[in-house]
Amino acid sequence: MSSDDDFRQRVRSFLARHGPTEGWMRDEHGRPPPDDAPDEVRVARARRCLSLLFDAGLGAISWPQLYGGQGLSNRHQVIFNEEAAGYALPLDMFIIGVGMCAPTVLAHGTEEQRSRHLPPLLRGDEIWCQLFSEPGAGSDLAAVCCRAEQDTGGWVVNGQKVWTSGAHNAAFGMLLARSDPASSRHAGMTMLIVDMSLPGIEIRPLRQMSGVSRFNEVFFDDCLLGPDAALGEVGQGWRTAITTLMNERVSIGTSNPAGYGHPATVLAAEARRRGRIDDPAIADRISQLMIRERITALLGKRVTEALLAGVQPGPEGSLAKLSGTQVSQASASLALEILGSEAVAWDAADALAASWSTVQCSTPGLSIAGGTDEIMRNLLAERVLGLPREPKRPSNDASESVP
Amino acid sequence: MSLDLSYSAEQSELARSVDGLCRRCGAGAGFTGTDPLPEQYWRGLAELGVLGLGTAAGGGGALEIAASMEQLGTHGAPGPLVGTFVAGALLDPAEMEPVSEGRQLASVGQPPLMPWATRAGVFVEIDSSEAWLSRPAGAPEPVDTTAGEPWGRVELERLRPLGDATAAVALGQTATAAYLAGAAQHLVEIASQYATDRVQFNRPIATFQAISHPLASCSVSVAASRIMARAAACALDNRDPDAPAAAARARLSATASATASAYQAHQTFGAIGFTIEGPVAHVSLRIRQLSLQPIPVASARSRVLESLGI
Repeated sequence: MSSDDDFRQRVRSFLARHGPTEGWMRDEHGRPPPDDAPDEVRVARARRCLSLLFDAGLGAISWPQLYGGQGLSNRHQVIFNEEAAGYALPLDMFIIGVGMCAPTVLAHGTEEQRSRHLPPLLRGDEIWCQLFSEPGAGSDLAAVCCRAEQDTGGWVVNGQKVWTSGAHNAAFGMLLARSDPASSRHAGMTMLIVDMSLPGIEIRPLRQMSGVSRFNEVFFDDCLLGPDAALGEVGQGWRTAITTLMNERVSIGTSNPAGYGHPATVLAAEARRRGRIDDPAIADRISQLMIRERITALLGKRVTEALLAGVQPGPEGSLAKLSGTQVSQASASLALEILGSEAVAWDAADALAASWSTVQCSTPGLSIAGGTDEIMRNLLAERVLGLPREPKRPSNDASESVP
Repeated sequence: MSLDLSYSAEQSELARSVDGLCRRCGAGAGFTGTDPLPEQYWRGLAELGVLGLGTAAGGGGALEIAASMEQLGTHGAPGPLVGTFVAGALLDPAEMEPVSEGRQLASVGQPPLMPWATRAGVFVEIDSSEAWLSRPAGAPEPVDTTAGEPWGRVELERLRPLGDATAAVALGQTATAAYLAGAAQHLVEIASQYATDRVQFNRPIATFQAISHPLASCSVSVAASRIMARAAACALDNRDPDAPAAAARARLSATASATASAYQAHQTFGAIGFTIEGPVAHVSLRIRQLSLQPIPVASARSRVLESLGI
């Protein structure tokens, strides 16, 4: 048996041993268990999952041992992901930290920053958030104006960030700030590592229409950071941010599409249960959905394979993200058609029945978060198809480029 | 045959009054707070005669209902509106009186899942062709709903048949269509305004055709569904035999355009439209909930197919 098979066997027996007792099982239709517990409970459950993984030698699989990882290859990580897809490991809240911040720290951090931050980040002891968007800088991230002023003791931060997922659980944040007030657009920004417990930081939760509060406004008022806070070169924050954004799209695009909408198999079962499966219009939409799910999975796989071959994430992450968003929306709209009013009303105690409505209320967010569909299409048009950029208005900075 | 689809002076006056009432009662968190049906608002609708429209006692017809519902949709206004009009078309004046006066709510639908069941005093069971005055066989079991409406699960006992429900169903489809068209029109308008005000990449985002063209497409389908709702109302008032099919077409058209407009409004506003505090969420949630009840979309589709002889 090859070492790959050994490893796969290890993963399987780990999942089979802990899945049932830890509440990681999907139901017979592949649906994850409800995720409506209070935040403290969600954080504790997520940390416990990671710590069991590390105890079994399965945490941070492809990360260097130097930083607390297992020192295995990306291929091992892929094997793990394949096996874990059948379960519902509660690791969502580490996506931003492990999937986006950690690769950025590894790529741009100093040796001190890497050894200080990566081990607790990867172990989930310290949750991270990404302080990028501002009220005036959404799709146009280069319009960031949150100020970071360098003085003798370090950095002084003033300004506001918004839509910061998980800031209320985070120990650290990666802050994109304007360090040169005379600069504009992509020049003069610096990425800073922020200890979220520092004075001068106020976090205000924003409630989403699905009823949960998972993102926040974050206000900085004369917040003092140490002189070693810069991640990457001072003034080169845009370059650092691009690393994060590329990893973000890959993280979103390659995650399991079933995590967002209900998969075609679940909708088929519902249609059968409700006597709608014989309606050819419904049957057609279910099969179309299944085809698109498969395409999305293959696109994700292509990105994974490029990563395995050592290629840095590129615009194909945008393709996977866009495709995943469309699948989720098609699934949500088909669910309404099949379930009718049962999709908008449910017994309070039945969290799985509630998931129909949660999906309805969450899918519009998928085409906004992590780069809107429009930005993804710009990237595909310009970087993949090589089409010319949208004509600029004369007042625009000639060096501008879409992230 | 020429068809005048503009509202009469009286119908427009009624629409203005409904608009005024919604502005007063929906201001602040009026229609978005924890109270699913502010009392002052529902009493106001009763006083304007809206809750009795289409009944022998209340006067008015489908066009008055459509004119009112367009305004109510514009504000994302709450309440068992469609159920009230369907009940009005089916019940005896004495049975309807407490509903028209706003003293009792009507729950109209297919049991066991009944809209507004935990607050309702009058229950009507309806399918695509028949209806029954009913009463709950026990206390309704409350359920949670997408737009926060107090629905419930309850078995109903039929008290008496209300006869052929075709016209009442058509009125309900028309009322739903008018509400959804109003709601969609509102979302397209506020999204267009926001796209004009919001600057990214040094220009208003409305100058990107990726933003403006989808909004333009939505405005076309919204205009179409408004016209279809009015045409269905006209057909109902004229007792046109095509009225049930016209109402079903209007309902399907409005459901599609409202869903698409809600999506585009979310896309234009970005994350702010995704928050409870933002201007999109409560209308978008209401569209999702209202587009599905009390008469299933599937029955509208069968009606359209029937009218084609299929």
